Order: sequence, then C-alpha cells, then structure tokens
Amino acid sequence: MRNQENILLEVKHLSVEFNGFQALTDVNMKIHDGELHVIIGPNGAGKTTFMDLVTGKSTPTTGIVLFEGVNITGKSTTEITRKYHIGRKFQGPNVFDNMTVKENIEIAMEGYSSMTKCVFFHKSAAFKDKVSEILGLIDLYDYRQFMASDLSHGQRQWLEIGMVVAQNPKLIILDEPTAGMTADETYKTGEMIKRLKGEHTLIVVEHDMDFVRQVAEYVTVLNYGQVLAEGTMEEIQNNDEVIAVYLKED
Amino acid sequence: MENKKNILDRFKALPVNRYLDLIVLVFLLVFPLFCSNYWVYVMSGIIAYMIFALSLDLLWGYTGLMSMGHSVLFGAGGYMVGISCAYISKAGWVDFDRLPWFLLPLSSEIGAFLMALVLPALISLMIGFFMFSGKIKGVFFSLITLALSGVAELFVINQSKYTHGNSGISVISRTVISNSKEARLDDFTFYYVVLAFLILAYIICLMIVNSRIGKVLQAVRENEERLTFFGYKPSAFKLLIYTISGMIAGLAGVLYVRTQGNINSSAVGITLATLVLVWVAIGGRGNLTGAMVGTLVLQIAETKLNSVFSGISADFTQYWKMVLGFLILLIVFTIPKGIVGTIIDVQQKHKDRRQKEKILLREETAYHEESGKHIA
Repeated sequence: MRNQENILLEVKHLSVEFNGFQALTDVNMKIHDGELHVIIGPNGAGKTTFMDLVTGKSTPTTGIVLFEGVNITGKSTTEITRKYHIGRKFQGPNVFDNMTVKENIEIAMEGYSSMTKCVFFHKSAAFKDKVSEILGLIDLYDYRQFMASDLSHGQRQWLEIGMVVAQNPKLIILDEPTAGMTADETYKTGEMIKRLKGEHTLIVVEHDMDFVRQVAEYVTVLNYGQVLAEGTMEEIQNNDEVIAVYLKED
Repeated sequence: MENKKNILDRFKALPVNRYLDLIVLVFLLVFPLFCSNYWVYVMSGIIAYMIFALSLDLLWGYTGLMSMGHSVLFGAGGYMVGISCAYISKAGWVDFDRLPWFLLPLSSEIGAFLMALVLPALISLMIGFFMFSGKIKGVFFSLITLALSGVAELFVINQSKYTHGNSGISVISRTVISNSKEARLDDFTFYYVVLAFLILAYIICLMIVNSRIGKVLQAVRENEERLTFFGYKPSAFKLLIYTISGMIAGLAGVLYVRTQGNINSSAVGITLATLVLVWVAIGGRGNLTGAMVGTLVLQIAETKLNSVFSGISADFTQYWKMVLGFLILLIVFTIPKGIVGTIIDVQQKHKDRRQKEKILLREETAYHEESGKHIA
C-alpha cells in the first residue's frame, strides 16, 4: 500500500521559526492516499505547528508543502480549503456556538462557500439528505435542533468532526479529536474515524495511546520539532528511542 | 388535511419572537385609532427609528460588527433630502446657484430619494472596504466608527454652505418624495406610509437573515477565523451586509426627516449613534424583534417620562434622563441578552431540555429491551 505512486501530501525539509524559537526542524513526511496517519509526540513537539503549515495558517521559514504534487506553501487558508480540499478540525471544539447543530453542518457543506453560491442557494432534497447522513454519522441526528452551546463537550467534538466531513475534503486533519472525552466517547470516536477511512485520507494528532492503538495504521513520532521515528504501530511500540521519550509514561 | 396539519406544525415551530412581531404589528396598526394627532406624529418618528434599529441589528446582532457610528448613514440619507428640499424650494439661506457635481441628482425629487439610499450605501461600502481588507475587527471597528460619527458631525457643521450649520435645514414634512406643500399627507395617512416602509424593511431583513447569507453572517459573528477553514471569505460577506445595512439606515433617515420636518447635525452625531446601540442592546440583539421592541419601549418611555417630569416642574425636565439611565443599567445588569433575547433563550433552553429527556428515555427503553432479550 505504501508505495511511491499514491502520495497525497508531501512535506520537504520543513522548518519554521517563531521569534528565535525553532518550532520545526527539517521535517520530511509523506502521507499516502487513503491512509490513516497518526502523529504523536509530547507537548511542544510541533504537531499543531505542522498542521498550521499544511492548512496555510502560517508559512514555513524554509521547505515546501506539496499536495497532489502542487506546491501549496504560503497559500491562504480559504484557497487551500476551496481548491485543494483540505479540511481541519481544531484542538478543542471550535464550532459556531449560538447556532443549531444542523446550521453548523449546513454552513460547512462543500461547494456553497462562494458569495454567488450563497445568494442563489436553494435547499435541495439531495442537500438535506447529505446533512441528515452526516448527522447520523456523528450520532447527533436527535440533537439537530440543539444550540451547539447546549451540547456536551464530547458531542461538540463530534459536531466539529461532522463539519469537517461535510466539507468532503480529500485530506482530513484532526487535531486531538478525543481531548476531554470519556472512555466510552473516545471509543465511539475511534469507530467514527475508522468509518471515514475508506473515503478520506486522514491525519490524526493524538495523545491518548489506547485510542492510537485502536485506529492507527501508520505513525509518525515528533519530538522537539523533529521526526523521531516513523512506521507501523508495532514498529513504533518496539522502538527503543520512542519508548525512552514518549511511551515510558504508559 | 395532511397539508393543513403541516402548516399548523410549521406555525407552531416558529420561534417565540415571530409571535411578538405579530403583536407589535397589530399594536402599530391599531395605535392611531386610539390616539391624538400628537402621538400619531411622535409614533411616526419612532417607527422611522425602528427601521434604523433594524439596520443596526443586521450589522451588530447578526454579524457581530458593533458600529458606534451608524448615525452617519442615517444622517447621510436625511441630509440628501434636506439639501435637495432647500435647493429646490430656494430657502433663504441658500446662496449657491449650482450643486457640486456629485450632488447633482439632488436637483430632482426622485434623484434625492435615490441618493438618500445610494450615498449611505457608498459610504459604508468605502469604509467597509478599507476596514475589512485591513482586517480591522472587534473593538477597533467600533472605535473607528465612533470617531467617524464625531468627524461627520463636525463636517456637517463646517459645511454650512450646504447644510446650514448648526441651525439645520427645514424640510417639507409628511411626504415621501415630493417637495411641494400640496402633496403633504395628513398625520394619520403618513403614519401608515411610514409603517408600510417598516414592514418592507422588516421583510427584507427577515429574508436576509433566514437565507444562507444570513447563516454565514451569524457564523462570522460566532467564529470568523473558523469560517476561513471552510473556504469562505468573511470580509466579502461583511462588506455586503454593511452596505445593505447602510442603505436601510439611509431610508430610515429619510423617513425620520420627513416626519420631523427638519434635520440638523445631531442626526449624524454620536448621541444618536449611542441611542440606537442602547435600543438594540435593551431589546436584544440578533433576532430583529429585539431591535423593534427596544426602540418602541424606550422611545415611548422617553416621551412619557419627559412629559411627566416637565409636568411636575420646569426644573425637573432634565431628570427623566436619569430615571431612564437607571432603568437601562438595571436591564443590562439583570438580562444582558436584552428583553427579547432572554425570552428566546429561555424558550430554546426549555426545548433542548425536553428533547434531551425524550432522547434519554428512548435510549433507556432500548437498553432495557436489549437486556431483557439477554435474560430470555
């Protein structure tokens, strides 16, 4: 499966520096089409910074980001979302609080983000079906008329996952999707993500090792802004270096 | 039958503030039948202010842009009519033969009315363009618009050649477009003309906020940065609503001037800009009803208190503002979401709780059935 042909995202020699602080140093990574790639690493390892660079929130000092072979380094977030179909879920639920669950999903739906599309928008049956389908996927169909602020923390996390799915991106980036969830909710999230795997390529950043074991196929470990190790879950778990810096707390 | 039930259900599902809208409408429709000419006149002015408050609610309540200088757009509309009227009827203070080129449309009555809609829209388009492309947001937007209304007030006073400075301009009242005395309507009829404009403005606002554009605007208010990650360009949406809001504010300005029969520099000033913020804040932001109810309640209270206090003694005339100020503080402290905002909030919370109970009950029954099967 991991061969050279189907690379979706590739970063080459990515380094970034904020006011003298070296957040990432010479990171090289390849994400293959259709895979579920987990990035782990201790706090401050540069995981979120890496996502910011891919989604255009910040620009690297050196290095390039290639998406389907196209250089997207330094493009705006709007363009990256619209043209290159990269969707991102933020750390901690980042939803539209004083709007209903259904409205949240509707806003996120793919292909209606330009001004003209919004002006001439008509709620077709296909659109409604798609929204219901996503509400079913994230198990919030019964909660569709709720204000997002009235949901529990875990449900808000799911809502944001649903919003990212509604964008129908080629690449989904999930930043700590299970943060603050109960064990049950974490497991349910894992199953949700596994279901997405067939249709989308996913990058997941996580701390919870049980969850990583549940979903991960391929893992990259970051430490101090550098790639420490890369490989399948078994390889990582048996890697002495990784055990020394990261897994020892388990 | 099925269809009939559907309509009934949809009617029931309407948020509580739509019923309030209906009550306000009925109240405004029957109001002149029970009141003196004076109150009909006062109420016409209040209705014009309600249109103004609606325009601010689009901007502040829905999009989260707290404009502290919305009176600039209101006054711009009003002054277009004022200058046009003075020029056409050759008021005593007018010592210019020709209008400057950009005010040429004011030489006709229809042109003046259109200019009163277009100029505020252009002003907000221009200001909005610089501010939104410069990524100015939050409190800085408020401060810049505040400064703008201060500047506009001085500008109007200084340009006394066209605006008659502090004294303001007298306008033929109780017409919409015409400047001739013969075309004046009586108080009663003009009241209903203004009310018709309010209903029109309300319907336009309602259509905007219920469309996808309206939902995107709400999303801008809630979390603008998140929206860019869904591929939107928030600044374009903000610019659109600022322009529309400016146009509606201009219309309100025209109607107000036509009710009052004059316009002066206070119409563009900070006082009015603050007043409209207070109306919307007290009524409740982001539901249209709040803006209208807030304006109605506070303006009626002001007029009533004013007459009560001046009835006690001439020295007391100024003190009604203190009473009103105290009431406003009380409301802001106890219900920060405003009158209508709080009502809607309570209804939504109640609905969510009932729905949650229903879901939990269903899950529990499903669980029991499952465990029942296991035992069997």
